Parts: sequence; structure tokens; C-alpha cells
Amino acid sequence: MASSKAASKPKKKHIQWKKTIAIYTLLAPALLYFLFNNYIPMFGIVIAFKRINYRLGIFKSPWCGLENFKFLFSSGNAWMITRNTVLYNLLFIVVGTLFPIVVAIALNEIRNKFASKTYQTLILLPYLMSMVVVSYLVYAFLGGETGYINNSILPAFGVEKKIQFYQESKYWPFILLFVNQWKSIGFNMILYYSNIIGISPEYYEAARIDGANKWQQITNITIPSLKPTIITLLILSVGRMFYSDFGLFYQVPKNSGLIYNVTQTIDTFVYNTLMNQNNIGMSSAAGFYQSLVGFVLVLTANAVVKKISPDDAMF
Amino acid sequence: MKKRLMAALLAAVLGTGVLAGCGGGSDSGSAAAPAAESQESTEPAAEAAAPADNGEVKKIIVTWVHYAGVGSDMQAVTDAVNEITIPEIGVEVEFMPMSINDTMTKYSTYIASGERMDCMLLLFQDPLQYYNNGSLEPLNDLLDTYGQTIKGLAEEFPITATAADGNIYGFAPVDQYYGTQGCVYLKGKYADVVTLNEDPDHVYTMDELGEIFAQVKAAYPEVYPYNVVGNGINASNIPGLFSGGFVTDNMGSGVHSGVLMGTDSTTIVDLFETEEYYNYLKTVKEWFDAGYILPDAATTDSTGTDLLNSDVTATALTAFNPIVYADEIANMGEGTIPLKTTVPYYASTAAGLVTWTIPVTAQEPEAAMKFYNLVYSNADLMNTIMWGIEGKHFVKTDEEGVIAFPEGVDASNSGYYNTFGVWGDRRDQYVWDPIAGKEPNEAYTALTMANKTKAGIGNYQFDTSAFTGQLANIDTVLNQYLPTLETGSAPDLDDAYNKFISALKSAGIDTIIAENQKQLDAYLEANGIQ
Repeated sequence: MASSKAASKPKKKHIQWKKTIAIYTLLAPALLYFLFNNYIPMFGIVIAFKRINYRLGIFKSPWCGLENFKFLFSSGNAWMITRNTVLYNLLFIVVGTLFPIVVAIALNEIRNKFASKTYQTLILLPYLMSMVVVSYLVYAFLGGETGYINNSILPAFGVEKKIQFYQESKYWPFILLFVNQWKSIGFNMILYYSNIIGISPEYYEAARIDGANKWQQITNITIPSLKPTIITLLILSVGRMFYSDFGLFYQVPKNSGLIYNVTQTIDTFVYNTLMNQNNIGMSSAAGFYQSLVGFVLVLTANAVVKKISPDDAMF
Repeated sequence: MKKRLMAALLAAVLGTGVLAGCGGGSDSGSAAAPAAESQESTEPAAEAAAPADNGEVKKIIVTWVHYAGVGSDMQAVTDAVNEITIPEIGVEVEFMPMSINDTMTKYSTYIASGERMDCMLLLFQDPLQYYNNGSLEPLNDLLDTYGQTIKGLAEEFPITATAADGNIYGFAPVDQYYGTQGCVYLKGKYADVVTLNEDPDHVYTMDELGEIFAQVKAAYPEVYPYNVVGNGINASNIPGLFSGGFVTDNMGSGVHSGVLMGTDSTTIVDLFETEEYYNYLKTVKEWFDAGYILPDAATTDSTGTDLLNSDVTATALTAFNPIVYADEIANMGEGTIPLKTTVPYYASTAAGLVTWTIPVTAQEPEAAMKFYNLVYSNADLMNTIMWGIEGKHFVKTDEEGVIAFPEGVDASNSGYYNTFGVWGDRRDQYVWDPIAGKEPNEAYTALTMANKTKAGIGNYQFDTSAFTGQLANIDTVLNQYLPTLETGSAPDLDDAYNKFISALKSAGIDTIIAENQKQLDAYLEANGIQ
């Protein structure tokens, strides 16, 4: 009995191995990539706890406990960058889900093929632009000397005093949201649009026969059909909640110091710390903090999703 | 089956490709390996120090810092340099061109990744920070063995940079002049529209400057006379009038650790908290509102030089001395007017702005030091590195030490022109304009030496090694606020200024100033300076 069991088990395994080896081989490059690019460098976390001395090297440099984290927390920077990163991401997630769906539904209602294709391309165009180019487009609007708003729009309304956009923080939450949506709406819209096209027309036909109007069709057929896509995209963005678009937060506000309190996110902070201070200890401390909070956020998000809709949870 | 095999092969090939790529990267990514390596390489070489002339030519890599690109004749000049260095000291030089902006951000990553540099030039950066994090080799032994000329010059001029532990970690070139004088250079083309004081040595006040700017603005409404831009302002470089507009001494450390105001003061104050500084910011704000400063000054990507060259602005803010004066005439055209804002004086700035070092990633430290020593002792070598090849890039004129371009060559088409004046004993450096010659420089140095700040007497230097973290925090605050404040672009000056001061305080500027004061008091006491 025992021997037959032992004999049959390796055989079974052998067959499975043969079946899967090709798949694992295909996976190998990706696995190696993650190993070398994502897992091995993780040992660098120790830098955050060391007073780096290049002559001694990373391992022999003296430990300094949490000294590198002190700057992060004592100056109030930790709170500021956490708040900015999380709040902007929340804002982007909410607005970035709502607007593209509205646009996708609207686009679906356009019957003229040529017009709908044109609009789709035009809306997508900003997505293909580099953030550096976008930052100069924004500058062309907001600049003080030659900017469009200060030199054409405001005078047209009789406002003579120029607004120094790059020095006043109150405008920036809106500007950043606007730029983010303007740039990304096209891509997100296409994701939803392709889904909407895929919904069988028979549902709508049946609804029309039952006397449903356009609004009822949208709320009762289109939106529920989009739900899986919405949840997947939501989880993806929640997972990246503690990362920010470096280009958006660094290039677009031109790294102007006076508006740091609303434009500095964790990524620009790490960059500025490393570049201005040549201090890899402090910047890895900030990077470590980012990983930690990001990890907690992903776990929390997953737990929440599991509660609401267990099928859609990641693990 | 065949297909599967192919797939497996392909995957394997891709896999090794990834491996190879990462292997190289992760090697250089580890700081531990190169550090160990360089230690190994110094030890056996030190043993073999004496028989240096065994005919073996050692190759060294020397950073060659530029601000406007590398000319086409870099290789020819390198060959000319090697024609001198190989027979003299058995060292072959390879220059490693780097733009000045790259040096600000890349050295530390180069050192961390083990990139080889035998001679490294730190320009406008705090070299002590590099020494304290172990990036630089201590040079005492090397100087004793191979650097006799440099040691001799160091007794006469403040060129060596010494850490608190007594180790010398770098040295500056011997300058053509010593001391400084605040100045605003105005382009000659505006001479007709402004009223100047008849005395060429007149010290202009802020109000007088404001009047001159008003006159320029009235005659040329499209011009912004006062040339400050945010991208040129940071913690280690505050070109605004204030740093040149008043007699200040930052004791070799930078404004982040306090300054002495005036030549009589022995009390260290926070520059940014002084009434003078606040008034200056207010004046600049008025100038900004009056249109004397570019509206986009804080955020523009154009450099001050670009704006000046394209006549958007009209002035250059830099020190007055014979060399810079000649430079500004060359840049801004004949008739450039120096509006002096202080008297000539000497402050203990000393070594620091320009520091030659040997980083820990050097593989031939002895050869590097031999090369340094030869640069300081051999004027031909120094002038070759500085100006290129005689007859090709410059010709000597009848006047001693003054050179000119050969026919058909000028600054724009010369194959070798863009070097910084950072090499060796610069008193023997050829000059383009007799204004900058040896005599005017000596006269200027005599003036400044007669008017020293208290810390300048004997060259007191603040030892910052215990405060690197705090100083870095203060620099972050300065980098954040100064580009806006110093260009007058803050919409609400008082609000921004108060935030700035309280940020400085929470970064710990007061403790640093107190420590600096303690060190200075002990120094003054020990040296009997009152």
C-alpha cells in the first residue's frame, strides 16, 4: 500500500513537471528580472540605518540607529509628504474613475463614426506627451512674463495685477489635478470605452422594449457591466497609492520652493534630498518609509476589498 | 518538440542577457567592493614609493570641468600635456570632461559606484562634506613625499584644506589675487542713460543702484536691469547683491553657519535674520514690482548669462577684481561699468570654492600627487592645460605674460577654450588683457590685505564636522526659499520671510552659530586678536 503510493506520487509529479517546464522557462526571464532588479537591491535598506562612509563601504560603515529618519520627522516633512502623496492619489483615483467613465459613455452615444474617432484621438493625445513637454505647456499658460493667462486672459477681464502662479500654493492642488486628468483621461477612457462596446446590444434592445430611457439604460446596464473593470483598476491604483508621478510633481511646478507644501510628494522629496544634500542615508530612509507605508496601504486596501467583494481581492 | 526547445533556448538566452546586464550594474552599484579595492591598490604602491623612475608610465584620470562643452582639440592638448608629464614624472594624463552642473550631483554617485577618478576637482561645493563621508583620501603623507612645491606654497598662501583631525584633504590653486569687493557690472551700452558718480571707487548704496536701474528702465522699458535668476541661487552660491553688497565673512564654511558683518565685528550673526538682509529683501521686492527684475526670475530655465547676452537683463553680479573685471569686459563688451558696492577687503573664505582632491576611487594616488605637484611648479604645463597649445590656441604678445588669439581664431571657434582657472600657481598664468596682469593683481591684493575682517586675520576656519547633518538641513531650507526671496518674487514677503526664518531655526541654525562663536572666540583669544 505504502509502496504503491510512493511509486505513484513521483510519477504524477514527473508528468506535472513536464507539462509546466515550458511555462516556467517562459517565466524565467521575468523571475530573474525581479530577482536582480527588485529583490537583491532590497539589501540596500541597511543604508537607511548607517552613517555612510565611502572609504569603509556599506557594510563596514557605522550604524546610526534612526538618525537618518530624524530629519524626516523632526522638520514635519514626513507628515507633509505623506499627506500630499496620499491625498493627491485619493483625489486622482476618485476623479480619475469618474471622468473617464462619463467621457466613455458620452463617446459611445455619438453615432457619427468619424466624429467619435476624432474625439477619441484628440482626448488621447496628451497621454502620449512627455511630462517635460507638458510642464512647458503649463508654463506657457502660467508664466509671468509671457504666460497666456497673465498676458491675455486676465487683462481681458480687466485684471491688471499679474498672478505669480509658481509662488502661490493655493492654486496648485487644482492645477495638478487638472494637468493629471487632462493627460491621463484619454487612456483610462479607452479602457472603459472598449468595455462598453463589448456589452451586448441585446440588453439595450430589451431595455428599450420595456420602455427604459437613456439614463435608466446607463445606470442599470452600462455601469453594472463596467463594475469588474472599475474594481480592477481601483485595486491597481490603490496599490500605487504611496507612489506619485514624479514628472507631474517635479517638472510641472518647476520645483519652486515656495509651493513645496502642496507640491512635494515622497518621490520628489527623495530626489531633492539626494540631489541637494548628496546624502544617500537620508534619501534611503525616505525610500524605506515609502515602502513601509505603501506596504501597509496595499494590505489595508486588499482587506477592504476582501470584505466587500471577496472574488476581486488580490490574495 | 522542436518549437518547445526553441522557446527554452530563447528564454535561456534572454535570461543570461538579463543576468549579464545586471551583473555589471550590481557590481558597480556596491560601494563595498571598490573601497576595498582601492585600499589594496594603495598599499603595495606605497611600499614601492621610492623607485618611482623605473621607466613605468602610470596613467591617471583627471576631471576636467567645463561649463560650455569640450572643444575639438581636447586630444591634442592632452597629448601636449603628456609630452611634459611623461618625461618629467612618468605619468600619463587622461582628462575626464564633466560639465560643472554634473559635478554638483554626480561625484557622490560616482564614488558610491566605484567609478575611477585619480584627481577630482570640487568646484563651488563643500569639500569637507566629502571628506567626512569618507570620499576623499587624506593627503598628508603624499604631500610630504611628492608634493614639496605645494607644501611650500601652502606656507605662503591659504590653499590647503584641513579637517579637524589634522588631515589635509585638498588644496586650491594659488590665486592671482586675494580678497574681494562687491560689485554690479552694468553693460556699457547703457552708459548714456545713467548718471554715475565721478569717483570710480565710489561705493554705491542700494538707493543709488535703484536710481540707476530706474534710469535704465525708463530709457529701455523692455529691459530688466537687475539680473538675478532663481536657478543661479542655492545654498552655496548666493550671487545676489547682499552677499556682495556688504562686508561679510562666512569663515570658510558658507552662510549657513553664520557670518561676521563688517571688518570690526567679532560677533557671529545669522545673516538672514539681520535687519540689513530683511531691508535688502524689501528693496529687491520693490525692484521686482517696479519691473527691474524679470517676472519669471524665480522659475526661468535661462541662466543669468543667457539673459544678459540676449539683452533681457543689463547687469552681472559678481565680485570686483582685475581678473573678473577683464572677464566681464570680454563678456559684456567694451565700456562695461563696475558699480562697486563695498570697499576692497579680505575675508577668510580661503580654500573651499576650488578644491583639488584625490578620491578613494583613485587607483594611482602617488602619480596623482606627482601630477599635482608638477602643475604647481611647471608654468608651461599649467598654461598648456589652461589655454591649450601655443600657436594653435593662443599666441604670445609683446607684453610679458599677455596672450592673444592667433589669426582667424576666437573664443567661439577655438578648439580649446572653456577651462576654468583652477590649475596650479595662477600668478604665472597667461592673461588676455593687461588689465588682469600681474601688477594690477598685486596692487589689488595689497588693498584687500590692508582691510581684513577679524576672522580673516590668520584665516580662522569654522570646523563643521560635527554638524554636517544639520548644515545639510539648513541648506535644504536655503535651497527652498532663496530662489524666491532673492529674486523678489514672493507675493507676500513678510509671510514667506517669517516661514523662512522659522524653518532655519527648526533646522538648527542657532546651535551652529553658537558653536561657531565659541570656536572663533577661542581662536581670537589664542592669537591675541581684538
